[in-house]
Amino acid sequence: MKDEELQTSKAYQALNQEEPISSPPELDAAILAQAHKAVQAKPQALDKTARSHLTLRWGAPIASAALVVLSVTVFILMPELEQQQALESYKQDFEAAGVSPELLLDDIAMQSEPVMSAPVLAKQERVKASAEKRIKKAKVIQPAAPRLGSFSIQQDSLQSASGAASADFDAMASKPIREMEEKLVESIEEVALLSPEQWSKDILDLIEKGDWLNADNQYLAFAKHYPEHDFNKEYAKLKQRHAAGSE
Amino acid sequence: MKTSYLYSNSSAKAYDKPMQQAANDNVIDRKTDEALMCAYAEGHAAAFDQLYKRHKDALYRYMFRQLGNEALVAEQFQEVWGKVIAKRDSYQAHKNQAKFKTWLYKIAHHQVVDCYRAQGRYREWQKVQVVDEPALETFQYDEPDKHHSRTQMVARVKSLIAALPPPQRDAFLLKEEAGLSLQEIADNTGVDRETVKSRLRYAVNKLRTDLNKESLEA
Repeated sequence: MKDEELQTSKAYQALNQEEPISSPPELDAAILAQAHKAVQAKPQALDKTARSHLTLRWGAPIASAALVVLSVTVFILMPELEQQQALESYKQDFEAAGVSPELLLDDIAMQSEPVMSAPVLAKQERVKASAEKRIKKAKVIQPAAPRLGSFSIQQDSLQSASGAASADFDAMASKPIREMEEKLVESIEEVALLSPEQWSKDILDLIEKGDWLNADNQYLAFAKHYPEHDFNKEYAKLKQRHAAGSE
Repeated sequence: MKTSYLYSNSSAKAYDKPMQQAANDNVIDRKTDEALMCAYAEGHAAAFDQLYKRHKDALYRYMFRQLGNEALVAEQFQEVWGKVIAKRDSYQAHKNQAKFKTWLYKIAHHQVVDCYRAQGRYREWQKVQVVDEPALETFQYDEPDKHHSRTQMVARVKSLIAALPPPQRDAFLLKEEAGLSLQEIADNTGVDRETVKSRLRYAVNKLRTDLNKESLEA
């Protein structure tokens, strides 16, 4: 094989001798000029390299740090700020509606105690308990949260206040505050069930069952709250009839 | 005394400048390719001139036989030297790892393959004809009486080389033009030594067979 290789080598060399191929002089000049230029421009090239090394070395850590700072700002600080703004606006709405943000539980206790009938009392107890829970929850969520307001306030003013608050909350309040506001509206609706009609109906039910003792208690509480209501006259007639009947 | 010594020394230097230049040129001439490349990387442009002078023709022929088209060859040839210039620092960093010639032809080989790929001819590199040639009489190229003429024979060699499959031609040219060993060709082309050996054998057999055929016909 070596002889054959030698012969083909010779044939190839003969080809090169017969047809010498060489790079064109202008190409040589261009390449040499490029080589000389590269060496002359070396300090600049080194500067560029050094700069690129610096970028490579510090680019990634700096970018990571910037990302962390941005993430903390967006995901942690922004919700807190929004929450604070929402609470401020909530407080302002209550104050604008003339509602004191204090003493909610005391009022409930004072108004609902001994004269209530069993179902009404139970309902009131439930409202009170749920209100307490909500307030505790609100305190856990945001220690600076204002009290929910008093149940002694007029229903209309409370509803208007909560309506105004909900309008703002739709736009800007954070989720926990919005939930709290919705629950407040629910509790207001529960209190609204104790309307004169409902209450008088409860009293009439008690009379039908013959439970005059509780009916009287309920009526005393009713009369205290609604002294001008027509049911007062009706109850007086019923009471007279019952007295006449029992005599 | 000290001043006159310094003066005489500097004046001697001024006189000896052309001689020193000549001496430097001699030193450069005697330097290995690797030393020249390192010198060029350190900023000595003359080292590159010498290096280029040594390798330009063989490299140009290697690329010309592979690509054929003069304009394309000129472009790719300049690209190869451009890469040598651009990578001078990385060569310096790895100066103990490879011979300059091996490194240069590795760049050239990749350039040629890339060129084939760009032309959509990369399949030619993958499709290697493997044909066992029958044993023929030994070809004697330098017997002019048995051949039509030297010119015709040379033309025939040229066309036969051009007709070889690119991987076989590549191995043959790397051996003939660059003088690389089997292992160096294997390292350059990314195949094992046995594959290179086989490619070379097929290339040589093909050339020999066809030239013999021609001589017999004549």
